Amino acid sequence: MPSPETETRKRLMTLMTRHQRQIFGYIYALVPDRHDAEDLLQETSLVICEKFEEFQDGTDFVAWASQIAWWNVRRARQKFARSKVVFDEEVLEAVASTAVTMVDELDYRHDALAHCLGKLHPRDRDLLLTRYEPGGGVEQAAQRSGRSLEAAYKALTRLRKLLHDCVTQCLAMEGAV
Amino acid sequence: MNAPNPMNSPLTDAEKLELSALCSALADGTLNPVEKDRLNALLKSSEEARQFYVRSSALSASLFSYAAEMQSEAPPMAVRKRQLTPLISWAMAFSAAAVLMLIGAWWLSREPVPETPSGIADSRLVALMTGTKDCEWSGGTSMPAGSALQAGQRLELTKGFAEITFDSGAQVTLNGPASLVVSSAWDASLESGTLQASVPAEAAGFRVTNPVVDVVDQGAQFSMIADASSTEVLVLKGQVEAAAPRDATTVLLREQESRRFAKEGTSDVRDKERKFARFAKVLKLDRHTTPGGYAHWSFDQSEGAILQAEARGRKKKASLHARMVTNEDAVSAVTLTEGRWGRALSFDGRLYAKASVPGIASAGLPRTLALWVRVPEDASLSGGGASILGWGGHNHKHSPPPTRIGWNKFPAQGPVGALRTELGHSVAVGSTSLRDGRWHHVAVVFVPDLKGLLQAKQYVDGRLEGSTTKNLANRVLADSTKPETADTLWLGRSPGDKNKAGFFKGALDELFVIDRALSPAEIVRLMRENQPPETPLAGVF
Repeated sequence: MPSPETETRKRLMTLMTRHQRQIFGYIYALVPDRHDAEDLLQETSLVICEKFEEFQDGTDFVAWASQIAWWNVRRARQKFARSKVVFDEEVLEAVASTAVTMVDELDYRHDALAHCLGKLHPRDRDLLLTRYEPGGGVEQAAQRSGRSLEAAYKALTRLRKLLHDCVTQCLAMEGAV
Repeated sequence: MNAPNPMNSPLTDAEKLELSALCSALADGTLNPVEKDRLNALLKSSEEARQFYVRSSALSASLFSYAAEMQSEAPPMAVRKRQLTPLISWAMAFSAAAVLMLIGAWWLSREPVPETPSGIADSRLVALMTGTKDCEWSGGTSMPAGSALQAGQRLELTKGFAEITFDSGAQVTLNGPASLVVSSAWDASLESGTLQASVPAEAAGFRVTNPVVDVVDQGAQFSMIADASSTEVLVLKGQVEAAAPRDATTVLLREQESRRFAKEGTSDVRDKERKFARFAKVLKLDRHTTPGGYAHWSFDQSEGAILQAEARGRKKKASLHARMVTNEDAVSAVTLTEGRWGRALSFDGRLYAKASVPGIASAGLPRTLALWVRVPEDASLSGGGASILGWGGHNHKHSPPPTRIGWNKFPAQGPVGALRTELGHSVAVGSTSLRDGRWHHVAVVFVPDLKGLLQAKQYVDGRLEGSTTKNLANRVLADSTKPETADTLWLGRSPGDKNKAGFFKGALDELFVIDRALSPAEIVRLMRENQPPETPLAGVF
């Protein structure tokens, strides 16, 4: 029979594997820099490990983890250079409050995005994925697609708008075959 | 009158455009200090603006996630004890393996537990280890019969025999020492060692490659023996195309023909009689069988509006019936027509049927749905009528996603009329049009994995035609809130269909709901013989 220790570990691993993306999304909304958000996700994950005994089964794990992430974000902001801080205190709090109410919607949007990405022209999809892939950026995307940097920025703006609208439309059409 | 809330002013159209541009600049790191102030001002004054921003930010976060998933096919990194900070690179940040590693490492740092977490980031399952004999794997890995294999997975067999069944239906037996990369359901790369491939007609086009030869099967049995400099190809039955990329030559090898491909050119295979004799021997392997019951509607007869199912290995047999109804839920008569086997159930666009299948919406268990379908050539492309089967009605975060099997009427997603399976927003579309007035055999295999992914694989007339994967990670796998809905299998419509433009028109025959994932060969057998698969039965529900 597995020890309670192993069981707890498995439970934690399952929850973290399932909800990592949502926790990252929450952090990224507050700290819109992927490297900083990634560091914060790591730090948050470790605090979640340490405090996991306090988590009550059956309650909302994402809400609980987001609370931990929130305090990490607050603490990290004090260390960031002023130029790196995007939102002032009041806006940060307001955005955080909005973000926690949108978890379900954002989940649907994430799923719908896969469908919308599939509808893009492969050339456009490649550009986007090169921009967003680990180690990627606008410059890499421009280089690989043979575009000027300015053209790549414009194309990315257009594609994000296209995807945003497609996802919104998918949600509106929910349930229709 | 309420005073306007300073934190919740609606946005004007001009502000919406401005906000969209600001969010885009932020996403690409080009936001200047003036724009930053403006963004803060907009977000401060409007909840609508904040919601827009959160959606925009989530879009980027999702794109990071999808882009990382596509890139992360690398094997898992080893976990080093007590070195937490540099442990996860950005490249791994979004993979499930990264979190497992982090938590595993954290646990290891608390106390030495000898269990090392592992995982492969890409969970696209494309093959199954179906038989083994005296297997030893490199590094002492355990790979028993029944193990699912993922795209990109490398198999290093040091000793023994291992049989791999690809989702396309191609079967490969490796003889150790051998190294094979499972690339997809349709191709593999033999780096060294010996393999024997048996490829049914449904998997024609299956390909085995390496640096010196590219073998494309045309429905055959063949063997390959590869070492560092050459590869020998021997055809036991049927024929294969073997191309040598170095000198751009292609040869067609027929039954009992063989060829050796090397960097310096092609030549005869030495000692080929002995080799052919060796490959003709039948191997006895330890095979993997999963127990599972099934329900079968033959649609050969009805009692009023009730169509009874034959069931084996399932509990609650008595409740396994389908009831023909109209949109007003009134009991109606059943129209049986000439079927693929005996009689079939006819749908006129107005009627549909509801069957009670306990556990159908439980997404955590493997399952196969197989049936014959006939869709009229003139089936309407506008409006409804494209859903053949469906279950799981709640499009709610905590429920399994609604599943619909039908024919495709969205040209942007694939050929019109092709088989289409929808798991929430994840869609698989096949290539053969069902909309031709003929009978087609359709099977959809649902395979959940331990990471919360549910894969749906489609087979049309026995041939693999597309798959899709849905992440169920944030959902409970069984819908216990509304058992009456959770148990309903809809025939001729899907749970969310509105009858604005009618339901399915056409006919269905020989519907099987099987409580396990059938192999490609079993699907072909079911199609040809209309006999349920012979495996040990167990009451799953």
